[in-house]
Amino acid sequence: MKMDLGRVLYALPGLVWTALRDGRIDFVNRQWAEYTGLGLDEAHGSEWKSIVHPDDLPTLIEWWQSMSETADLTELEVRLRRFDGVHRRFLVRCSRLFDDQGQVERWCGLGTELETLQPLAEGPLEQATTFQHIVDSIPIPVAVTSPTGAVEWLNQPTLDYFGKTLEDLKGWKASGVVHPDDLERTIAAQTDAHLQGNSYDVESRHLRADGVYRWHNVLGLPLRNARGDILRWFHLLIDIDDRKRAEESLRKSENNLQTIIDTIPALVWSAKTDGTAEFFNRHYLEYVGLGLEKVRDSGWIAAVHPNDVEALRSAWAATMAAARRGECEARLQRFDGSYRWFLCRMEPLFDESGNIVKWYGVNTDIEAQKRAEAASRANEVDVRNIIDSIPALAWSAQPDGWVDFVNQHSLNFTGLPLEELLGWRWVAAVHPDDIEGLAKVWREGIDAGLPQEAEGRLRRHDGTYRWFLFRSSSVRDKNWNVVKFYGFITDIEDRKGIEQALAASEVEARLAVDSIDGMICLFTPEGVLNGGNRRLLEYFKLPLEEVMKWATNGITHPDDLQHCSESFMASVASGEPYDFETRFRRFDGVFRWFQIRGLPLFNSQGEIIRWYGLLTDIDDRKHAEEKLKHSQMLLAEGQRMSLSGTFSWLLESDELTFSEELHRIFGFDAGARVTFEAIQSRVHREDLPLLAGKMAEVRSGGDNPEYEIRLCMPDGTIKYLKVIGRLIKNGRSECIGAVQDVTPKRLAEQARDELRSELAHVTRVTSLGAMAASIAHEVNQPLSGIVTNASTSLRMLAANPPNLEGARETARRTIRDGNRAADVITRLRALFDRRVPQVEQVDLNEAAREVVALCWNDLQRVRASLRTELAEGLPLVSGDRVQLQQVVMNLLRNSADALAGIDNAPRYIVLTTTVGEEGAVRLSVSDSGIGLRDVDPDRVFDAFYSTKGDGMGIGLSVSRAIIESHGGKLWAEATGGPGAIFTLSIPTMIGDLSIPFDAARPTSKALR
Amino acid sequence: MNINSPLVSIVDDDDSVRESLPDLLRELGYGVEAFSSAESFLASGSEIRTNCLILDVAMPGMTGPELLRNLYNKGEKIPAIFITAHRDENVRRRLMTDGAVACLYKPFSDAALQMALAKAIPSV
Repeated sequence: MKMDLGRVLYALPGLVWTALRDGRIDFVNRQWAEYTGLGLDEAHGSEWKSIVHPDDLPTLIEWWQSMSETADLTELEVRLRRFDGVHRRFLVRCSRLFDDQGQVERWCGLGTELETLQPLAEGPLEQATTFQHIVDSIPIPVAVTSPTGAVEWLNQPTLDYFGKTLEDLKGWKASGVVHPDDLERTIAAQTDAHLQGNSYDVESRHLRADGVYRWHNVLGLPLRNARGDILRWFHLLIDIDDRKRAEESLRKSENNLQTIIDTIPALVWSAKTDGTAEFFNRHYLEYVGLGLEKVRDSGWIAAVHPNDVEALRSAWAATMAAARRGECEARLQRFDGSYRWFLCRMEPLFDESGNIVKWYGVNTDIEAQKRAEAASRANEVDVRNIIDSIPALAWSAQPDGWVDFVNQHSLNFTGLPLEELLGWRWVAAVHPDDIEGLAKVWREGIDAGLPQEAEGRLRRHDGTYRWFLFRSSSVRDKNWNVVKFYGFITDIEDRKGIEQALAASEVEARLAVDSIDGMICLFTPEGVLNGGNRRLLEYFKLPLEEVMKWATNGITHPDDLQHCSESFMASVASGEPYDFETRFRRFDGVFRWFQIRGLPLFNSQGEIIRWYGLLTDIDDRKHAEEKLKHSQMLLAEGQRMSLSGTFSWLLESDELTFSEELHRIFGFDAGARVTFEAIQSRVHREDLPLLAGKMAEVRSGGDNPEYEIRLCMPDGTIKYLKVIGRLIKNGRSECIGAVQDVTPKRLAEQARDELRSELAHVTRVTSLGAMAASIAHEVNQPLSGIVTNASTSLRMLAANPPNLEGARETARRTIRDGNRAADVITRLRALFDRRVPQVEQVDLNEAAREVVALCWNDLQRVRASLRTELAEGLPLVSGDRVQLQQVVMNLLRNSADALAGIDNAPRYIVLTTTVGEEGAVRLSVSDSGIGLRDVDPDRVFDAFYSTKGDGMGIGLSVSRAIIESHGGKLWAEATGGPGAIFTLSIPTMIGDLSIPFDAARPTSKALR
Repeated sequence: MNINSPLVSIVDDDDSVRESLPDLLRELGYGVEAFSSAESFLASGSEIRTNCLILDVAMPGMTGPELLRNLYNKGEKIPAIFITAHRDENVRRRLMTDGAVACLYKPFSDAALQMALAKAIPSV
């Protein structure tokens, strides 16, 4: 009891100590030790002063001394040092402990930490004040009663739990706070303890403030003084409701278990480790008609049949000794006095360390089986007679396969005595080749407990073997355990004979086989060819013996031989069907491809007895395949060599397929999936609008005639592709196209064109110079003569005397040379005047188409897309076809040149013909080029005016002159958008126009 | 014609030059011989007597400059005046560097001819 109190003190959430009158501490509680970090030994004596804050120590000593001198007990606030050196504020109270003489023996102190102190209700309790604080801070309900049991004081948790006042609870016995069912027990326990002076411990339900009863463990502890007198009682209410509930549900489930055990339709029992029975289920008790107390321990033996008691006892003892499961049969007496057979099984229950803690037993009623057994024994003799007379070999075996009976017929057939056939010895009579197969089937039958059937040969008494069908079946008890195997062995030799006859009829089958359109081979299980149909032999025109050597005699193509024999032998070894292709040499020496498929034929034992092989001539198919492969290769190779690829674009799904070469052209990985994103990432960004336009044309149902597009490869090089697409609609819309990489050609053309235009320029310049020089030379020669003759003539006239004859002669030569010079000029003019204008009826549309065809290359070079919009039924105009075409060409060239500087925008030229006012025919050329750049549109027609660096301005002035000579007009306008538009208009009504004009005239006119 | 007059030989394939220029030179007081080609001049043997040559630049067969180089190679350093209808400063500069006294573009004035001749035959 003292120890229990010590625990309470230890557990109090405050620092508690007792000190002797001289101030030395002789007890501290756990909280004290934990707070200060000092052990009990260190705390004893006067060491405690070290934990008091130095500033507070004098006050503390003074306070204590004052209390020793007066009767008053007061409180003091001091700072006490915690184990970690931190000082915290404590409220310290002291009370006196008196000895027998009423003298102060020691002091008891309590330090309550102010930081955690709960506000206190002022109570009038004198001495108990000390405990009030302690007890109040215990977080469970605590009641303090007088030695007679009167409630003196309750802590706050108690009041909170019940929701009542101290006054209410003083009469707790009548206030209904204890559950009515528990009240009596609680009061009894308490009264008892008060009378005896012992602590008590009772479980009872207490009504919480919210009206719920909760289970509590009520502990009552008496507080005694040094003499042992009880000063008061402490009652602790420990909430055990959850535990109670758990116990309740456990009890319920135990009940449940009990119910299950009781309802098992068998006699269930358990025994202690020493073998004394302790539990019997309801069934057991009902069966024997005895109460538990009658059968427990060894009482159950009384219900065992006297003849079985010994066997049961010894089996039981043996089982216990062996410490494992055991069973035996015994008769148990029923409540009505009758006995029934039971199979008694017992099984040990082990604990975690492997020791037996209990035995469990189940006794099963086997009366019915026992009766059946007895009945069958009774019939056995009759049965044997019957069995012996069966014209078949009959036998029986135990569940483990041990033959324990064979009938007379078996003995007669084998000529062996019974003992030579029992157990496993019968095997000796089986044909050596069949032993393994039969044994296998028989063992499987034993393991599975299932009926089995197999064939095998047995040796007759005269040494000959005959074929038998072995059949077995099993007999089972109620528990589905095999009790016995029974078997019959039937002579099937005659049936076998029929089978052989059937084999003979295969000859007929062969006729059928021979007519099969294919070659058939038969092989032994080892893979030796031992038969073939007529077609096979006809193919090779070899005897079977020769075909047999297919692996060595060269009829198998040498390239296929290894694969062929490996595939075949692998199948023969594994028993798996085979299927491969190989070439065989026909009688005429030609190798043809065959597909060879082989299947094994199994007998009833699952053994392969033959292989069938079917050879199908696939030579034509093979050739077709190779041809296809070849043509595919040709195509691929052709594409590779011509740098052209093909593609397919399924419009519905946008699925794209590129040929191998096209992958290469685009620089895609071979086999990579082609997407429009991938394509767009390659197409030159200036050509993306072109691609979009071409794709839109296809989507709207049109073909893509030839166009050119550029790729910008990742390394920055440019590729020129020529693309043709054709839309094919056969159920689905598919655009099939060809793409040719024309980069080398295009680069060569560009180089050539650049060279050509450069050459043309140089030639033009040099020929102009040469012409000027030749004109100068031709004119200067006669001029030189004129000047010289004139000078001579003057000198001759000036001489003294004047040489008149000489002067006249030289003057004559001067005239002659002047005429010579004029002749030179006339000759030059004739040179330029060679061409006479041809006036004819001109179809401007046709003339324009010819020009477009001529300009095509130039336009492609600058990647200008040219659109022609030619009016139908355009009237003819009179004029010089070639001159008019030169004008049109000049306009197209100007447009092409104007486009050359355009990047990142569409480049297009539109050539339009229309019928204008008063029947005039108009032709205009517009472009998206650099335009007129705020220049007066008329100035571009001035000779020698040019916006271009290479000075072609002469073209436009000549063009205007040509058109004007046709009675028409040529003018320029800026378009709304980029570029310019040049339009010529020619009247059609001038039927008899004679053209007084030639291309060189404007300049010569100007010079004249 | 004064036997002591300096001899000027003209080589030109143009008839009108061969017709008109000798008259003028005679009026200026020079002895004149005219040849229609370089080959005929070389064949005449006049080279040793000639005080000044008037050569056309471009002629069929041997050209004027070739004739002059030919004479130089033989040690005959005769002052030469080139006349040409082809106005080409490059040709003119090269001829002057190669030692020509003057290069006159046709048609040239009698004053220009006189200056060139004075330069070629200083003693007169």
